[in-house]
Amino acid sequence: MNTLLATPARKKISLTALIDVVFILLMFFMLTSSFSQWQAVELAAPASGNISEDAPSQIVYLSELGDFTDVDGNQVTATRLLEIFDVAQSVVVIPNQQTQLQVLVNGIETLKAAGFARVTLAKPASDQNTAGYGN
Amino acid sequence: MNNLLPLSRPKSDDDNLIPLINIVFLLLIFFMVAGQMRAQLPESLSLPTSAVGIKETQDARKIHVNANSAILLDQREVTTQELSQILQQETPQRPVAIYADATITAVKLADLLLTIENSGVDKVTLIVEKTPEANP
Repeated sequence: MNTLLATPARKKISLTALIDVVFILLMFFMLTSSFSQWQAVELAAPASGNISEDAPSQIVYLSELGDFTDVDGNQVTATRLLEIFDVAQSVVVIPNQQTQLQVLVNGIETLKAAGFARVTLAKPASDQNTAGYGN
Repeated sequence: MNNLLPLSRPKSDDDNLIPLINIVFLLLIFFMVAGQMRAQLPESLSLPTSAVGIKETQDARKIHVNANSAILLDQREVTTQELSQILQQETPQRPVAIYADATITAVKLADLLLTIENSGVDKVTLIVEKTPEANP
């Protein structure tokens, strides 16, 4: 009777099948996964009206090459902006019409790194010396 | 004395595969843990890079703008008027995430931002690729 109920001999699973599946999984993850990380930069839509009257205007122009200029057209650095602007107030960046997005992002990054917590993007100006904000 | 020694078993062909499987498993675990899976960006779109930024919102409406300044919504090219209509129809309003090519001009971005704002969306974010030096 015992011989009839004897457990069948264990079949050995071949490792070749396992490694086939693992290789396919590895290929899938290698091809689909990405290591670059994305993050978000908050944008306030370009103002089409005037700057709020209660806050003093802190306007800086951003050229096509990424240089900052003040309202008089003088080139300024982020360090200089720290001296003349209040960090607690919002800084309004007016890019040139042809300023590329990467240059714009670099400009915002420079201002934020300098200590300005609030950087607002404004409608691009065609000519830095004559264009008025939001008019 | 013989009892202390491990019992020798017949060598199998699969024994040579074990170091290989070990390495492949390690690689598999590395890619599964370290990599991120997400939808591919449309062609001709490379994101700007930046060290500053916040965590991206997962439920945001994704708008792609490729290097030719074409606006893509759900992989379909739309005009600013169509985009405005679609955004206005959505209730409640979802935040919008812009995936724009690094070479588009400020005037194109401003047009898009104005369209989005006029559609009633109050939260707009620009998605950038984190630069390596931005790691905390």
